[in-house]
Amino acid sequence: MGKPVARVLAGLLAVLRGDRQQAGPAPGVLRVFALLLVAVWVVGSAARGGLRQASRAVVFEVRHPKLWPSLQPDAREQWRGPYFDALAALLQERSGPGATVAVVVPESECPSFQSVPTRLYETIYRLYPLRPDFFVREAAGHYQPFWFRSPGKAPPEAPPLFQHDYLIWAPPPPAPPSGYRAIYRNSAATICCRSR
Amino acid sequence: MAELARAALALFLIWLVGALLLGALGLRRRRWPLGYAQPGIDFAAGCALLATVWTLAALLGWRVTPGLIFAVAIALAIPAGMQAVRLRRQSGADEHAAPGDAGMLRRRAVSLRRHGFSWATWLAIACFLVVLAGLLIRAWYAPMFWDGRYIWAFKAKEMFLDGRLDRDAFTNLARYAYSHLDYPLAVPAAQAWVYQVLGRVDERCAVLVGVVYWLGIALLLGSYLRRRLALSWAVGVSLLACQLPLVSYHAGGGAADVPLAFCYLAAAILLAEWVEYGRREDSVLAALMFGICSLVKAEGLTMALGGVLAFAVAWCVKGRRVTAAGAVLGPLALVSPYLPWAALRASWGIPSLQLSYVGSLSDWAQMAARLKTILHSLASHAISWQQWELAWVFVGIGFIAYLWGRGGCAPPREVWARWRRAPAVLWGLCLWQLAVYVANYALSHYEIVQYLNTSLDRVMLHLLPLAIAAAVLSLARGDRTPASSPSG
Repeated sequence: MGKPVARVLAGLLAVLRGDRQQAGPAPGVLRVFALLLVAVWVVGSAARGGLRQASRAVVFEVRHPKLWPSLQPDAREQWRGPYFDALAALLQERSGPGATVAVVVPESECPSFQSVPTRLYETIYRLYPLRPDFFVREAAGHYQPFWFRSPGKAPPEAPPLFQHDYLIWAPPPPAPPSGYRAIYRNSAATICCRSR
Repeated sequence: MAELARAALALFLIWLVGALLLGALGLRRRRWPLGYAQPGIDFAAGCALLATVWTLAALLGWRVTPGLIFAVAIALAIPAGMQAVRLRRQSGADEHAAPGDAGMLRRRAVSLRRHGFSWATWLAIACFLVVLAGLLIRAWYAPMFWDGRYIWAFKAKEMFLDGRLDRDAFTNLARYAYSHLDYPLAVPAAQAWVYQVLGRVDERCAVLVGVVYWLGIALLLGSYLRRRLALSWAVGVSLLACQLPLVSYHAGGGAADVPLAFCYLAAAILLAEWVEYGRREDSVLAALMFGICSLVKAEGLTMALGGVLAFAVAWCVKGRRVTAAGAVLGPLALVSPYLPWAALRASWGIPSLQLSYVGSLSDWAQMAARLKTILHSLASHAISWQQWELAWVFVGIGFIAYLWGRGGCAPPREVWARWRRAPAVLWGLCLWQLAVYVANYALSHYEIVQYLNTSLDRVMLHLLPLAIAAAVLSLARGDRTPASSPSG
C-alpha cells in the first residue's frame, strides 16, 4: 500500500515542481479498478439513476409530468393559481407598453437572500414589457416602494402608488381606492384601473 | 408540432450562420475524429455571432430583425464559399498527408461499412437515444429552471419584444439586478432568435438551445475519446457523462451552464490538440472558443484567462512554436467575441455584479471557516449519487492515474511523451477553474451554505465534461490515431 501512495505523491510533487519529465502509463490495477467502477456505474444508473429516469420519462412522463425530481431548493415553482391569472388578465387589457403598473404585496414578500421573491420575479417576467413598481403596506398604513438589491447605487425614483395607471393588490383591498375602479377580482388579487 | 418544426428551423439557421462564420474564417475542417463534433462548434459560433449582432445593433441604435440576420448570413456565405473551394482543391493535393480531413473520414467510413458497429456500440447508441428522448420530453413538459427563466429567458423575452437591447432593462439595478445584467448574450440571443422565427414567446422552444449544446457535449466527448478508446467505450463514456440526472436536468432547464460546459470542453480539447500536433487552426479555433466562453456566461471570462495561461505555459514550457500569423490571429480570436459586449457595457454603464459579491479580504479566520465549508460541500456533492452518480469518483481515479504516471521513475517511451501532453492541458484547465470557483466562494460575502446550495451543482457541471475527458486520457492505454505531421 505504501509504495503506490508514495508514487502518487511523487507525481503530485513533480507537478507542483513543474518537472518537465514526461509521464508513463497508468498502471493496470488502476485501469481495472476504473473498469469495475464504470460497470457499477452503468448498472446503478440503469437501476436508480439517469438511465432509469430517462426511460421512465419516455414511458410515463407525458401522463405524469412531475416525475423528474427537483435538484435545487429554489429550482421549481409552479406558476399557476389565481394571482397569475390576474397577471394574464392585465396583459389582456391592451394597456400599451407605456402604462404604469404598481403591485402591492404583503410585507412578508419583501426580498432577502434567504427568501428569494420568486413570485415578484415572475410578475416582472410575465408583465414585460410593462414594468411594475412594487409597494408594501407598512403598519402605519403608508405605502412604501421597495426594490431588489442594488449594490452601490441609490434606488431610482418611482411615482407614488396612486399615480400608476394600474394597481394590482395581492391580497385584494376591501374596496378600490378612490380614483380607481376594479376591473378584475379573484381570491388572490384585484386589479384596479385609474378612472379617466 | 408546428412550433417544434419552426424551432428546429431556427436552431438549424443558428448552426448555418455559425458554419458560415467558421467557414469564412477558414476554421471549419472535417478532421477525424473531431469532425463529428464540428456541428456543435458551429452552433456555438452561431450563438456568439447572433449575440454580437444584437450588441453591435444596440451600439448603433438599430433594431434587430430577421432580415438583418439573413443579411449577415449572406455576407458570410461569399467568403465561406471561396474558402470551401480553396480547401477542396487543397485536400485533393494532400489527402493522405494529415490525419483526419476528408481522406481520413473516407477511410473511416469505408472501414465502418466493412466491419459495422459492435453490439456494445449499438447498445450504447440505443441508450443514448432513450436519454435524448427523455431529455426532450422533460424539456418540453417541465417548467424551466429558476435561472433559466429569470436570467436567460427573461433577457430573450426582452430582446424579442423590444426588437433591440433596451437600455433600462440592462442598467436598472433596482428592478432587474436579480437577472444579472452583466451576463453576456450568447444564450439569450439564440433564444430570442427562436422567438423571432416562431413569431411569439414560447419557453418550451427556448430550452431546446440547451439541448443542442448537450448533444454537442455528447458528440465532442465521444469523438475526442474515440482517439484513445474503442468506439463502443467512447460512446459509452460519453453516454454516462450525459445521462447524469443533473446534466440532463440543466440541459433542458434553459440556463447557460450546459452551453458553458460545452464551450469550455471544446476550447480545452482544441488547445490540447494544438499542444499535441501543433496545427495553427486548432490554436486559433481554441482561442475563439475561449472567447465564446466569455460571451456565454460571466464565469467564461476566467476560463478565457485560464486559456491564455495555458497557451503561455505550452509556449514556454513545452516549447510549442507559434507562427507570426498564429500570434496575431490567436489573440484576435480570443478577444473579438467579448469586445462588442465590453464596449456596450462601458457605453451604457452596465455594472459588474460579480465583483460586487466579493467581500473583505482582511478577515482571514472567517475566510478559513468558509474554505472548510466549501471543501466539505464539494466533497459531499461529488459523491452524491442523486446528482453525479459515480462521475466524480471516476474523475478522482483518473487524476490518481495521471499523478501515478507523473511519478514514474523509468524513462518513458516517446509515444507516451507525445500523448501525455493532452491530459496535462485538460487537468490544468480543470484545476484552474476549480481554484477560481473556490476562491470566489471563499471571498464572497453571501451566506455561504445558501450560496453553495444554489450554485455548486452548476459550477461542478461546468467542469465535468472536461474532467471526464482528462480522466479517460489519463487511464487509457494510448493513441489510436496514426502519427501526424504538424502543419502550422
